Amino acid sequence: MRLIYRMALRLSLALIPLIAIWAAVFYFTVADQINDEADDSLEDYSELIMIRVLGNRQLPPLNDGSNNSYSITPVSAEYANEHPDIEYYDAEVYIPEKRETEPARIMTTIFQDSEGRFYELKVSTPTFEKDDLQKAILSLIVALYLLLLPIIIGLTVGIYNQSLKPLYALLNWLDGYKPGKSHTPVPNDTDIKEFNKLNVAAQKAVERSEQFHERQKQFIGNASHELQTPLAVLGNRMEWMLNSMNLNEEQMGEIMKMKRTLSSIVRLNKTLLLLTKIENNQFPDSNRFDIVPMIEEQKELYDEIYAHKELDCRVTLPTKFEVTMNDSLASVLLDNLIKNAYIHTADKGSIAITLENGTLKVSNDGVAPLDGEHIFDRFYRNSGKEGSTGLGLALVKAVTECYSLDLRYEFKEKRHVFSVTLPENETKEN
Amino acid sequence: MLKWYLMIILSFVMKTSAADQERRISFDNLPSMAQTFVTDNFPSQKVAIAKAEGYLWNTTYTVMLTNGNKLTFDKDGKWQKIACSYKNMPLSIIPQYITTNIAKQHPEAHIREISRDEKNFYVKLNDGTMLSFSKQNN
Repeated sequence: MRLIYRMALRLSLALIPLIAIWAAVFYFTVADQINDEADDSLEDYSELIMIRVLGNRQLPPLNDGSNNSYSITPVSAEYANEHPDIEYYDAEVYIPEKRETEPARIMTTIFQDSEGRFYELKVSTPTFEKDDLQKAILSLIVALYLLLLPIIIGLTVGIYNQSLKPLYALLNWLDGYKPGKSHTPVPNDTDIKEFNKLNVAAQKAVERSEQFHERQKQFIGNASHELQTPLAVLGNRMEWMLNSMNLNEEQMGEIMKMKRTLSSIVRLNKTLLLLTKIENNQFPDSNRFDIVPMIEEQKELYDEIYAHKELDCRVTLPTKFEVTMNDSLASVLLDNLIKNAYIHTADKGSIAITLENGTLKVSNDGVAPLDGEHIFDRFYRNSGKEGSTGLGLALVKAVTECYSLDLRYEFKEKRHVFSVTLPENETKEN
Repeated sequence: MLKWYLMIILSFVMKTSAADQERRISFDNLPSMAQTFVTDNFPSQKVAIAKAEGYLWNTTYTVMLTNGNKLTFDKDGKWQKIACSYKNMPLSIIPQYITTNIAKQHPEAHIREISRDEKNFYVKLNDGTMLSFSKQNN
């Protein structure tokens, strides 16, 4: 899951209850304040009446125009003892002028006068306004809550996207990075320390890896080059031994075997050299030429060489197909693909070579699929076949990488299928 | 600020709206300073009702005497306000310099209410005049 969705989810999960709690706390606090105000006005009213009673003054009308009302009843001492507290409660009160019963809040106090007589004073004030007010506040809080949540989450997502742009730039660059190919430097125009560090580290890692790659290529190239001389010397000495020394049959036989082994080492070395040359872009010249005759020539050549296997090879080619690449490299490419097909098909099997839609397909009968991940690696071979260096497909891969061609292996309907797109047009060499 | 927050939390811990409601108490439950004040200055009066409001440091006490006087005390029992609607303010409560001043400036009026804070006394006269006196004798 993308980071932003996870963040938004976690944020929602945390905020929804938290803000709900806040909203509830807020609502109840406000509701309490409203109730307190009502009670305060009752307390004031009650004191006012009490002072008037105690001073034997004229009492206010029992029911003033604002629908506040009061009542005073003398009570006994026992009653006063039974009801020691000041009480606040809600009740329905009948308002004579309106001839209606309405919800009101009532406060009861018991006090005594100078003669020790007890009175119960009840004051009441209507509460429907208070209730309306509370309902209004409740709906406002709910609306605010419903509005606030998406705003907060939206804001967070927006800020996140804005702040993490450099991270995504780096991720994009990583997507496009292919080891061994040249690349643009890591984008680093941010002034955020963490991303700076990350980008610099990525750049250094890439450079180190590139350098290592380079050194390795050079090493192989140098090693193969150095090997050529001693191998040649060895071959010459063996020749000389065969020609100049008086050897018996057995000894000559042994030296011939040694020569054969030496040849395969020489061949291997030559192929390695070729491979490094290709990887080092030492075949930069491209020509435009028709590849079809080259394919046909090779097919005929291998038909002859492997005639004893009685293979059936079919070609489906257009009359002409022009490509732009180095002709030696083209030859190496075709050679290795086609030769592989001939070598690795069992006797009396079939091979097919087709060129359609700019894609060359070489397929041959097979028993079990090869490991598509590794067959293009150097020295990977399924079985040690005579004459196989294990580098054939590695060469093919090197050529296709030179021209950024698409190279694939599939095992379909019991056939190994190798497909390569051919460079019709000028391709970017790297 | 902290007091305010604590009040909010307290008012949840108790019944809603109960924080601001008055509760009736007996005279003996008043702080002793308040009791002494009442017996000293209003010896002949009975208590009509004694009430408390708020909790802890926010407590205030109200005493209504049977002659209609209303006395308000803070949490320690120091008087905050004395209101006498019926011309019966005991002069023993009022500092000398204030009574002298009023006798001079407002000879016909009598004091309905006196209250005080850290710095000043505030006096309301029956003709509606409001006066304030700083606490140092001046």
